[in-house]
Amino acid sequence: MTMRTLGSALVILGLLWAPAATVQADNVKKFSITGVNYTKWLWGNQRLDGGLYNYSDVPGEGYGDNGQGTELELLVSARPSKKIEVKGRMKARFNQNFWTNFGGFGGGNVGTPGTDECLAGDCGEFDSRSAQYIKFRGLSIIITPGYKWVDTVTIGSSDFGMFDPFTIGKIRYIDRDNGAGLIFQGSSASRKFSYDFTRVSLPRLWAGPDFSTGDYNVSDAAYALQLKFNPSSKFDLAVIGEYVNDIEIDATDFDFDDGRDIRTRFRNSILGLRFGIHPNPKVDLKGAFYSSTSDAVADFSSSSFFGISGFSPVPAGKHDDVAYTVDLAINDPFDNGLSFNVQVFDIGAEFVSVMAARRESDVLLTEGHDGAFGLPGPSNSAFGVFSGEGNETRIGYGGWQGNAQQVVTINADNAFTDFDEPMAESVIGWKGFTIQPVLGLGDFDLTGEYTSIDYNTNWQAWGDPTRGILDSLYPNMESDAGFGSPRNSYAPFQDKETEIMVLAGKYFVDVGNGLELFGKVKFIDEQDKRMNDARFLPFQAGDCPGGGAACANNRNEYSAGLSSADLYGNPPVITVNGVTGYQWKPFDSLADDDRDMDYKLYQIGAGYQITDEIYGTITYEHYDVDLQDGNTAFQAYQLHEMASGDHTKDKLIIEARYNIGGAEFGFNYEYNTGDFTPDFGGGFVTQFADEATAANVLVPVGSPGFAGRFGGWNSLAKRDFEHQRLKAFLKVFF
Amino acid sequence: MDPRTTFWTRLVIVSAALLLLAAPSWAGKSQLIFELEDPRGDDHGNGRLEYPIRSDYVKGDLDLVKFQARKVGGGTQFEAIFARPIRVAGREAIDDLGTSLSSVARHGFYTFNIDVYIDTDRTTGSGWVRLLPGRKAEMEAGHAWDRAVVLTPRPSETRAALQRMMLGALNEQLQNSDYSEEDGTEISSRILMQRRLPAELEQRIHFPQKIRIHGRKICFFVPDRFLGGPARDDWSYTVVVSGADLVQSFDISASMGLAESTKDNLMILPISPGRWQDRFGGGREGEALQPPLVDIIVPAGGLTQERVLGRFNTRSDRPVQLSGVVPAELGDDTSSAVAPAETAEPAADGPATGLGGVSGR
Repeated sequence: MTMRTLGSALVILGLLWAPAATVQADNVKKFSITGVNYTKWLWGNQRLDGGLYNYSDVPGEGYGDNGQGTELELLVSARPSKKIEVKGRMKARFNQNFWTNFGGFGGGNVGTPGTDECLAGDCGEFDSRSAQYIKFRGLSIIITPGYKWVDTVTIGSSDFGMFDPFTIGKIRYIDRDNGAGLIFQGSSASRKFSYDFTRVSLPRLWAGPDFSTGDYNVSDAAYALQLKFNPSSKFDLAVIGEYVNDIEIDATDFDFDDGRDIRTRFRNSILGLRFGIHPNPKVDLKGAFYSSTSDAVADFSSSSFFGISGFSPVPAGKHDDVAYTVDLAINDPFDNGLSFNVQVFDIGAEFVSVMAARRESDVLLTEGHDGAFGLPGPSNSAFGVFSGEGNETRIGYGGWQGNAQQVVTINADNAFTDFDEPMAESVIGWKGFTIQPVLGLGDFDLTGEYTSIDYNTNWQAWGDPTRGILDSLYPNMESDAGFGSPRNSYAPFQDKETEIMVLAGKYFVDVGNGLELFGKVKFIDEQDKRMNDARFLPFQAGDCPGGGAACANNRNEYSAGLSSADLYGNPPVITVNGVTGYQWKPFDSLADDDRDMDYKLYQIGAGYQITDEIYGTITYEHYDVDLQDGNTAFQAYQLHEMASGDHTKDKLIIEARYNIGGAEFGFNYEYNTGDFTPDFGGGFVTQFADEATAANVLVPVGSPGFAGRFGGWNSLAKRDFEHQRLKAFLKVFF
Repeated sequence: MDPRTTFWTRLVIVSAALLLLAAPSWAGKSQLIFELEDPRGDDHGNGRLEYPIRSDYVKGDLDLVKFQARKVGGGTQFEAIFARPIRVAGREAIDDLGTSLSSVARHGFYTFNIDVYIDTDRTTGSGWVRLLPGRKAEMEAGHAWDRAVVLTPRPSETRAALQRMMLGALNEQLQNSDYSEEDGTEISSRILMQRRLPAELEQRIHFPQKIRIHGRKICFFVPDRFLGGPARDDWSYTVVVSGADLVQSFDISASMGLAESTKDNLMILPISPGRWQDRFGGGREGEALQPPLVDIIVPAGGLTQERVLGRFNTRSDRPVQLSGVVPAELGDDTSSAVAPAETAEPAADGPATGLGGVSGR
């Protein structure tokens, strides 16, 4: 063939076929190395520079909205025989490896390497988070022995994605080969029956009470067996059993001559059943049922949590509960593009699965909450009433983009994410249903959602009035105050219900390369009476008479010696500018902690394939939230910024991707504006920030507010927000 | 409940209900042009193909059981129905930058490609016999295709990749030819071809962008301007299902001999001997021409899928040869069964006996 004969693109297509003579006879390389480069550029006007991720809640880990950095990843694969495959990965991390470290050498005069003092690359080459080193990240050996009873044996690293989000969830992508273990997988009867068995070494970083697996952790493991039956494409069934065993050396065994005894620190077992029935293309029915037991032994981990800010991925003590979801999909039953999805769900308050998926899974059909308001305070801060680094907003006023993904664990993990990633939220305790009609008609798509959620965690005094209010078995981390925390499922008092309604549309305009118009309206009505029984009021009626008189502090006990006064202490009497009264409203009414959120989101946007290589979208979102979250008697558990009041937030998001084969450029720019008008109710004397307070919590001198029980300052001044941020990236596969 | 919320709630629910309930009356009935059925349980290529060992592939996922064409306003809607619900891309991260799968596979599906090769003139010797890169299959001469519809998770990127591959092949051909750089004719020819390519591709191969998923069914729209009108039941259709590979690489490691080349894998998962996580397993040893095709529709009364996909021979440079299905020839009824699956008898290795030696026109 010569060029002069080239008359059609289809002729060139023929050139893409190499003749067999030139094709390698064995089409599998015995050894290969491939690589990926990731480059990230963060910019934002929060000017945070702790790390190359927008958010982390891991103590001592950096986060920020500024900086540039590069990752290199080398993937090595060897196939020494057709029965053995070896795959390994070596990788650098973004972490604090900024370009400004000048090859990892900058810094070094600040902080002690390996400690929390090393942030923003301060420790340069002396700390592994900023030394720009490449680390061995994982290796797996996959054996296909050719026996009937086992298809493959995997030794070493895996993301364990063969199980499910309720038991052993797929490990998050950035840690995808951090987990290691043994995996046996087999099948028979033309894969109508298959099994997966694993022993996973328990991650010491987070897979146990208090985010730890104790002192003796090298023998800790999770075991799981999954049996799957696929007798036909119309029916499938799986049963799964999992057992997590976290052991410690028995400190009371002093006879070393016969070895050392061991004791259990934490146990977690789960039995599950999943099924799918697919009788015809119109109907799909799926169900998943799980039962869990857990036991965190008191003398090896927290026996209870400081009631309003405990941190742990599992509750203390013994628990057992069930969880289930049932999904029905009716697909285009009238052949006109109208389909329905229905889900019923019930996740027990005490359902515990420490190895469940922490993010990047979505077990519920509902959109759930939105990442724009991800943490308690108006600015997405946690503990923002206090001064100090880390108490200001980390993820930023804009929060995360889009709606949350739902995970079945309070071990929900949003660390090391950027603003353009979805937020993961815990659904422990959720029960209810979702109805989702979907209409596709010509160029028009419409999706609706109605979700009603009740809560298994609706209880008083943590569900056990025999315990003190600050003696909870349940960690509530950043708490349910304000907009709540995505990883919190528990509150001392809860009487909550939620309705979510969504109507989302998409219209394809057949112009140019195709213009996609999209929009959404979303409403959330969430009410929580919290304390709903006067028995639990902290003080006896009339304890604080008002009129400048001090409170008598006569505790009201809900059980002998137990009172919510430990949580909701009485205010002192103060005089400000000649006005005398209480520093905050005394907690004397069941309405003092009531929460009522009226949440509205309006979204509109357009996407366009500018060229085959470039795709861009522009999205505008307007949030209007009217939130009543208790008054100054509740004061967001005195730990967080109060969020009672009116919130508006506007987001302009511009996103583009440019793909040229093995390389992809992208950027995501977000411009956030909004305001918060506080409404903390009455019954207290407004204070005004003095110079020390102003400097401490960054409010104007003389601005109104009040100091809470722990000395935190809640401002009564209207707040205006304007945050911009940008994430640009490049990834190259080679 | 807050009165304002009550109002909005009711408004939204009522509006949505009205819209949805009214929809059936708006929709009208599309006109079925043809319907092809394919046996259940034959998602195993030549009988030995094994799915990748990873959680997003389960037996039945790529098992095509029905393929339909409907006349709708402005074009043809093809509908493919699989044995199991189609996996929909979620927002799980697929790289270290936190890129979500749904942002890459924007049309919702991500595990498969469906190629539809259409012989519109039914004239032997007219059309093209080779399938797209990576498919490693040819059409029988009597079913050479004139138009192809390629449903793939990243249609624009695939089209761009195909253009790049073709330009690369063009340049390589130039470099290997006996023309010098100074040959003005050659250079102008290349420039001409480069300019022609997008339009040529647009004319011959369509990558649907209007895609909709309903459980096990995926619908994709092909405009009349591409097919010259609605699809016809007297055309020949070859429907091929393969696994989708969303990642493209610069192939630098391969060029240095450090890795397998993926440059000819146009968004398709390859097949190799053994069991794998990142490709199909069950391939034959030393057979580079084994097609990584999972399920195809074959004509009734002819060879079974397993035999069709087993008839290749790398040493003889003989890829498998596919035959199209002409719905109108299957009987008056638009619905027709095709050759039953042959689940237990993979074709034996050996020289192909089909129409060998057919190349491009």
